[in-house]
Amino acid sequence: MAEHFNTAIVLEGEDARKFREYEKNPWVNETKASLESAKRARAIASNLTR
Amino acid sequence: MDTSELRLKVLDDTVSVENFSCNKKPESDQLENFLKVHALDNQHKQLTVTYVALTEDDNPIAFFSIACASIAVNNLEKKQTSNLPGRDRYPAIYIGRFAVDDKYQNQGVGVWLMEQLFARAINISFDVGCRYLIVQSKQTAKTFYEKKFGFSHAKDLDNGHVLYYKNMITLTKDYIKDKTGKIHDK
Repeated sequence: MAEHFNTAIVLEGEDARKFREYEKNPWVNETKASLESAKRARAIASNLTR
Repeated sequence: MDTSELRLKVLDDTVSVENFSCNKKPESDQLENFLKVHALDNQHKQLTVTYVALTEDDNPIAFFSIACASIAVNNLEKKQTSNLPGRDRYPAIYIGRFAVDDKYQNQGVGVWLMEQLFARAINISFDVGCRYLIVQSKQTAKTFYEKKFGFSHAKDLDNGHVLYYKNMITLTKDYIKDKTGKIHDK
């Protein structure tokens, strides 16, 4: 029995405005922890077979 | 929990999920139910792919399920066609389910699993246009997604859940800090 995800996301109004602000600087909500996680993820990715 | 002993594997019928349990918190039983009832069928129908974290004795203790997705953002400056407003569309990977077995909560498994997910997403984005990661989550996971991984609040959903997004650039690019402390990609 399959369960479908709603993968078509629509942002309107204030949500759309916030998204556009975020697009101008995607780094704005990064934290020390998130930057370290991203670094570790890049290292993992480089060792994965593609 | 020593996460270096874990390995990630795409779910198949050799993985025994019967003992996986995450029903202590409200609504978490839906995650358990997805893994036990829907995940394999979804995969056969190419709707989602589920990855499981296995211990050395092949016991699944965490999982995530991902699918292709898109974010459509209303753009009032764009000319409307038909009755639909102009929208900019961004390709994305949707994290539909993300769960850790109750017995392994707060032991670093969730962070390990998210970094494994990020790594797969990074490599996918090198082969297919993919600008965003999206995750649907319970309100209680706000700190996990925002503080630990830099996700941003997208919108509240009718089912009480929350959508978050994260630009893939923050995963694929290294960064520098300028004199004011502001972060940019290199």
